[in-house]
Amino acid sequence: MVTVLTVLVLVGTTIAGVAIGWQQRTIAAGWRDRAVVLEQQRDDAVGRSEALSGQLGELSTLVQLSETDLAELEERLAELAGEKAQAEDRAVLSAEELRRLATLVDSAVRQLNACADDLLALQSDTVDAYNSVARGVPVDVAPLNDRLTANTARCTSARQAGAEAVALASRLR
Amino acid sequence: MTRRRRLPLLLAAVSLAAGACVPAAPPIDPDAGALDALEPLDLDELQAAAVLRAAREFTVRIRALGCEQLGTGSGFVLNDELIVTNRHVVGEPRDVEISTWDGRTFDARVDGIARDADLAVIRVVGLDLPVATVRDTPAVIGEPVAVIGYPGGGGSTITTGVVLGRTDGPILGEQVPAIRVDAQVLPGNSGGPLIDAEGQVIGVIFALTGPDGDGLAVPVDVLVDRLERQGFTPPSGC
Repeated sequence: MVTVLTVLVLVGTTIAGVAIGWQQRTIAAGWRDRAVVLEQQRDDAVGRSEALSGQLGELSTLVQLSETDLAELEERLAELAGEKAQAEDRAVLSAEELRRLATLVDSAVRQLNACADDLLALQSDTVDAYNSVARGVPVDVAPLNDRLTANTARCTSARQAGAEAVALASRLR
Repeated sequence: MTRRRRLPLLLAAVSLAAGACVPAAPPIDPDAGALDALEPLDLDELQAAAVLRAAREFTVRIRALGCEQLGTGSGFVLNDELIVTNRHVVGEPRDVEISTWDGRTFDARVDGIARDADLAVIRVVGLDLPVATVRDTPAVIGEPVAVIGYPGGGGSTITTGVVLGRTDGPILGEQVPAIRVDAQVLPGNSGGPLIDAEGQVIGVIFALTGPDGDGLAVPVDVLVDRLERQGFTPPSGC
């Protein structure tokens, strides 16, 4: 009886082992299939990653080039701004020189007018004095000499102002 | 249970245990990442470039027609309307104009000058430029700095150096302290900003001195103090 039971158990165990072995082979085959699929997916992902990495590298290069271009453009813009500012400096200086020229010319003309007026008056007074002397009337010529000295200084100043105006006008030409 | 009886059960258990083992999943390939091919970005260089770009944009060129002559200098934008520069740049103004880094020109009015420091503030309407950030901590000896400005009446320049020290006593007729730097400073840099590595203003350039041409700057805390207690007065006319 025991022997029969033992044989039955062994047979049952063997049958169960065969069944489990078959089941495990089936599971292993499933894992292998799944591994193949996963490997394909991984290869695809790596491929996409490499492609994206390449695109990212190209974009990075483009960004760097754009950055370089932008920096160069900004540098050029700054250079042009500097040149514009310097041109404005020259324009301001020219305007200032013109303003000074106008002031000098105005001053020279006023002084020359005064010089001419004084000279004419002095000439008239000198003629009167000459006529008085001719009539035997004594004349004090000291005031005339003083006026002559003052007028000479005024005329010299007028000439200097005129010369400055001419010089400035020559520079502006 | 006898030994003979236990044997079949043992064999069955061993068979079941062996049959229950499942294969391990395939390992993942660690070399799958392709991102290693990317060049690392030089963030420090990018940061420095951004700082200097911003600093150049808030630095302006100043043209001041004084009583006797035309002078040029530099300045920086403090807020939407105010620009900081030196008193000696705009001390006796007849006509003041601001030129920006991108070529725009604005009429300006001198709002006030400091009598005890080489500082002045001028007002401009319609200025659309980045605003400088003023640092609230003092300059540290050895820290890197940059000087932005328009030396010689020319275009914008940037020179770099380090803080050499701080002069506490009067210097060059000015009664306030000064920061000494070894960055190159030239006539025309006057009024321009002295910035730190973060782009924050730590001083206002006003002179160069010494055999090596060290630059001198009014510490920014002096500027803040004069602004807060209204230490600026209207300029004298011609």
